[in-house]
Amino acid sequence: MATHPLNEQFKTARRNIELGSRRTVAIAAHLEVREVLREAEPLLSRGLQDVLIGSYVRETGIWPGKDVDVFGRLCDESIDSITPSDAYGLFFRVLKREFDDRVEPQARSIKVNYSTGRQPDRRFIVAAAEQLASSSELTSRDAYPFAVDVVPAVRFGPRWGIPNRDPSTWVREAAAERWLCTDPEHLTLLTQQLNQRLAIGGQGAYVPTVKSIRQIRRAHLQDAKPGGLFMELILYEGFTLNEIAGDTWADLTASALTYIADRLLTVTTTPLCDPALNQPYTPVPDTADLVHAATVFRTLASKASRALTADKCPAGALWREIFGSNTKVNGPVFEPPPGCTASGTVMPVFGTQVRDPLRGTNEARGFGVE
Amino acid sequence: MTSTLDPERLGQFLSELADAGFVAGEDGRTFTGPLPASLTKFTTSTEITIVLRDPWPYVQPAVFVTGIDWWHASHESPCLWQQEDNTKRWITLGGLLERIDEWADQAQAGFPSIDGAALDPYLYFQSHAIGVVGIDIDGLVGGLRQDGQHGRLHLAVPPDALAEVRAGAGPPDSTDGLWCFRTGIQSPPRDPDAVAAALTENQRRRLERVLTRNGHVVMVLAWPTAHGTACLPLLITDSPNGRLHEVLRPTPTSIHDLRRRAGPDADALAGKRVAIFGLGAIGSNIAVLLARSGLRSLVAIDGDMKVPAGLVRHAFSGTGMHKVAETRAELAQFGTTVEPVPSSTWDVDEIRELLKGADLCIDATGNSLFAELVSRIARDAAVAFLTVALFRGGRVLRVRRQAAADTPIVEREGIWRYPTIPSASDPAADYLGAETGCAAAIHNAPPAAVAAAASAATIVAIDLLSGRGAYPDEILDVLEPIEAPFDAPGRLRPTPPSVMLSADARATMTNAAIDTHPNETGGILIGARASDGSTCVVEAVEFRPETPSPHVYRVPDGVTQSAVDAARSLDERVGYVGEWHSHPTDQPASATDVATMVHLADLPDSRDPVLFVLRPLTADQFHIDAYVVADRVLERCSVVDVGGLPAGDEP
Repeated sequence: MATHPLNEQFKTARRNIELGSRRTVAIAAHLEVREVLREAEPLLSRGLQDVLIGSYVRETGIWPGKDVDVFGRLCDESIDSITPSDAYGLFFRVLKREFDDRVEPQARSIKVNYSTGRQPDRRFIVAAAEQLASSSELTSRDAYPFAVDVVPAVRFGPRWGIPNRDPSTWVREAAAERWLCTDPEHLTLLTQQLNQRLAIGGQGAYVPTVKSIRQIRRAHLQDAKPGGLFMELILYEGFTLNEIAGDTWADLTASALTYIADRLLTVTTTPLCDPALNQPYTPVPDTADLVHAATVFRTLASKASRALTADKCPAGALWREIFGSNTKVNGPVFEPPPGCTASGTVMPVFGTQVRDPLRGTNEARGFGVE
Repeated sequence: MTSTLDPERLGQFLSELADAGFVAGEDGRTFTGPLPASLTKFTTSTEITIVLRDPWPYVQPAVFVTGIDWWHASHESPCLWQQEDNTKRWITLGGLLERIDEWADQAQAGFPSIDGAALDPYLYFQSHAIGVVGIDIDGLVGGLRQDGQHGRLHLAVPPDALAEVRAGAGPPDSTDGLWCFRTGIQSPPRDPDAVAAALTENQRRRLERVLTRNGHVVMVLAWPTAHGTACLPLLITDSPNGRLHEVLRPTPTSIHDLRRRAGPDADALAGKRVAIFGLGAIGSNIAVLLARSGLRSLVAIDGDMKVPAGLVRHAFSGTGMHKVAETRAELAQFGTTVEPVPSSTWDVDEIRELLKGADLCIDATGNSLFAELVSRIARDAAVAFLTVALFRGGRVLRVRRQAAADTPIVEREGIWRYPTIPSASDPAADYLGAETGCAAAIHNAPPAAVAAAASAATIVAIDLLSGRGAYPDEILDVLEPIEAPFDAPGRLRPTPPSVMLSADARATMTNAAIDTHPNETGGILIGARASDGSTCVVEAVEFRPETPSPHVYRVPDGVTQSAVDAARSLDERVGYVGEWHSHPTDQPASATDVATMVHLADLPDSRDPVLFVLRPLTADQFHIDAYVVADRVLERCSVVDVGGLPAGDEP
């Protein structure tokens, strides 16, 4: 167990990477798009049931937030009854008519862009806030550029099919080659279940660990592969196998980093399983990317290991380095423990009471260019 | 031929001369050419002669014009260059002629400035010069400045000292004489006939009477000019071969003339009174420098006698007398009145009494305990105080000033602006051996270090007494490097320590800045001072403006102290430590910011304030610049992120 678990600092770090009200905005955007979809006869007549998927719904999303994924299920269609082109066209026309130049076609989805100047309508914000039992009062920081990605989906046996990423395959004879089998809702369910298995301080440990690792990955790998979902699936495996464990957030995070560093090097020989489909996850990142990421995570795991046995201040500095920065706090997300500097040294001695405290002046005073 | 270290430039100059029609003389250094038009009003000559002098161009060329009838000219040579002139304008013919034109303009205007005016009438008699004589011409003439006044004088010739013209009759064997004052002299007499013509009939008659009686007479002709009273001292001797006029080159001796060399602060110092404790090596040098600089009233406090061994560092050369008595005697020549106090008192009441009426009190005892004692007494008595001492065998000197707005000396410990001078590993090495027995140990600082310390202290004292206040309240000069931060020679400029900033305070400021951007917001900083003097900001309180502006941020009236009290109710260690505000653009602290912070630094309730300025890098990313006020200047310092104050039971 960690000599100094730094529970408060881990708690603050998690708060610092939370989406906060941006989650409300994302849900509101989903509601706004959904309203458009649900008023479209061509979709309703095909049994439209849309659902929010992705990290927002799994609650594994972190600051600054990414695109919102909406699964546009046509329950009355299957991979045999409709082509990807037709399904895609149905959604595209509906969204284009409503959102016009904010609509941007993607390989197999339709993107609806939101900018800082064009956020979801206020009534959707209120509705989303009610849904999340959160405040509908937003700050300027919650108006951020993002997009809603609408993915057409049709029945694919007991699961769902979405158009293959490569449109040239959409005309193939075999339906199974035109569509890609997926089950995002099941992954959401598995995530929620796994989060119940291990708790720290009464709180499910899996989801917070996923968020922490996503933050660490983003801080140290930035845009390089593998991405956040891939790391999430490694964590899913590690937690499921009880290979990732710990009594404190520090121990658990250190364990997760070590598991990831090891696992990244074996992915090419022992494929990572997509738990929702129970088959190897694709696409597999390039070997060079995996090796690079493994090297980075090996270094981070080593620092985490040292942090577990270090004194309070050096331990704080190591975790600060591991967690990196984000724009939400304009700097490192892991705060130094009280009495410690960011570089891990001990702060100077402060008396128990100020001998002659200054109260400042009550006179008005000006700054600026007056 | 002309000797030069710069033949290329000399060649160019000679070419310019030739091109302008100048003809070289046989000596190769004399060049005669057409008279510049600007000089035609002063002479009937049509030629000007330029004589190059070795080593060209470091000695200015001489310029001669025959027949210039103007009293500022000496030997028909306009006074174009003063000796210390370093303009080198004479290295081109254009520059030289330009200077001649300027001289002509000034001559025409009556030489309103000293520049170009040759105030040396004795030069006309240079061929008959017999020596230098000290003279206080204004003292000699006194108030008798009506035209035609005259009075008696004599020439005193003390052995191994400067001959001096003094008022009144001298001892029987002295050379008597007469001063004669005329108001209408426009140009100095250039020969004996002109001298005689310059006198009134009555003056001539009295002069002849002395000549007849003694065969010789010292005659000083004096007249008013724009630059003061001019004088021409002549020794006139009758002999069988005729009457001989010999000139005595006058040199001024009055206190007024001394003060002219004392610098621009002499007048400011004249009305000041300074008390100096300790007239040893440093103190005596300070006393003499202040006296020479124009100080007229000094209280000298020291109970010691002067011993021969002290001569190498002391300002004065006597031994065996009280230091304060010697100081009084020595400073009289500068017109400084010294009140000697032959005592080395530690009595608080006596010291308080000695400070009465003083504009400045200086401690030069080298005793840190005594300095602290006097600093407290001076502070209570509202008398400016200054203490100077050498440390580490004279390797480091420190001058501490304690004026009205300065940090009291007893409160400087632990403040970054006042770094502690480290002790030597072997302190005994910095002192003389057992010479003093149980008396105070004597530093073994070398005389040059003593002079440097006295000079630095005097400069700071004059800076204070003149009202400039340009120096910081403490200066540290490293004469010979020791340990860091005193490890480089020169004046030490302490660097501000980093300001610690808690994550909470950072988040408060950043979020507020982002929320209000591009308008400004701000507030105050709550924090604590560590035992080493460093500051930790633990909380930023925002006072968001009711009417936001992208140009101005104002802390409202009456909000600060209640916010501080609220913070203190949660943690007694904290108090007010400074201000913060955001900027609309990526700009550092403004002039208004500086002025406000300097003002706050002067207030007792907001001492040493920190300023954080949040400047936007993007709409949601702000950089925090930290500043501290040091000596009325806003200085940048670095920020160290911390996790907040340690809990009360933690170190």
